[in-house]
Amino acid sequence: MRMVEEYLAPKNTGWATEMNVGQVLRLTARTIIDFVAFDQSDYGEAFDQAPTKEASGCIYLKRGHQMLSRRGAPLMTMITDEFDGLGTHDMQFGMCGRARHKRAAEEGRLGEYLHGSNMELPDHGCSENLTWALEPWGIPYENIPSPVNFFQNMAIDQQSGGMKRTQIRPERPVHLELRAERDLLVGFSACPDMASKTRGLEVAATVFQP
Amino acid sequence: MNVISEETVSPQNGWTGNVNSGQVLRITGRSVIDFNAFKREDIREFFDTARTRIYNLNLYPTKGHRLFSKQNNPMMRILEDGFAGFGLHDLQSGHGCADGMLSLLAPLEMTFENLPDPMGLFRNLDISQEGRIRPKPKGPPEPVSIDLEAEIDLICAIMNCPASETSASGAYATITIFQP
Repeated sequence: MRMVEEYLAPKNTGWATEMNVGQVLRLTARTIIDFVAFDQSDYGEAFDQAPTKEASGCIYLKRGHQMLSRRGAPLMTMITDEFDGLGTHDMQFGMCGRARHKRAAEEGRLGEYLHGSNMELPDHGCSENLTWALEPWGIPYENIPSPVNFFQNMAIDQQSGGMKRTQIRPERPVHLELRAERDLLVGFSACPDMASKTRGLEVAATVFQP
Repeated sequence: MNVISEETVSPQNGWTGNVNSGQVLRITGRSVIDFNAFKREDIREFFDTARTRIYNLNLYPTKGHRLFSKQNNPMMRILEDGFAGFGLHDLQSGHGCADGMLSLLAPLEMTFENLPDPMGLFRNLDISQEGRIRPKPKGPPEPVSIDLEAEIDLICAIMNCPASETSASGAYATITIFQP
């Protein structure tokens, strides 16, 4: 595969780029990535968690599953998942960010979110990172969908449906690969990942032309 | 509590209306009802399934949980859940009757692109340890109610949208608003 573009997103920053149908995006990381995609010709055709889960019949995004748009059109197919066997990729969360950190602090629930009770809260998070990254394409926060949260591993209680964050992450950076099923705008945030021991790390993104 | 309004909704039909801060919206039914809510003074702020799941740290909404907006603000509180014990409400699926919901919300100039994913009341589903979503085709024998207290002034909307494979088809729904 020929490399088209590469970018290293530092911890707690975002990035967005356009991709052509058939190209492959490789994400290399060991930290949470909040990831979204849009049809390049119609940003209203944005990734949507609900049809994605309905089509696969699964609440996690796994290898072979497709990320679908609001109208159920395939946007991307996950073709490589080196996290498989260690953990799952979440589609329950929204995005962290200034507003959510503030509310969690007000509610005295930082410990429940595994953020630790005494830590300093970052002044921004994935909401801001994705909003800033997508600003050049004129997409406001309201139109950024709830993402796929790669490497966000949740423990779910079967009886109650209760969810807990876990600290399970790859020990060293691993690859995820997503193939574009149409011309796309994609964006992601290298999450401050306050539940993890690392408190966030950089994310490498590479676009390949097969 | 005083009844402000009460309306019966037949299958494949819907209801929309104002619910003021402090009022209680009671939704009574026994088959799937898709629910959306919007902040009245700015409908760009709306009930959001992902934020609701995460603030409650639960896949399934029930008594004691709050509904949150995409802007991370509380919108409603679930005071009672008569479906508990019969099944689980759904925060995973999309709209079963999107066209009907869009017709209801036409006065808000709602478009499909901006229509938020709903809460699927009385849908009843099971999520396995492996994350598989399995509908459980079993509704309550009689209609049951969920009571939602508005924490801000809202526009709420429901579609009575029974899916034959997952719930009792042809069941009527009742929408009641109470002033405490």
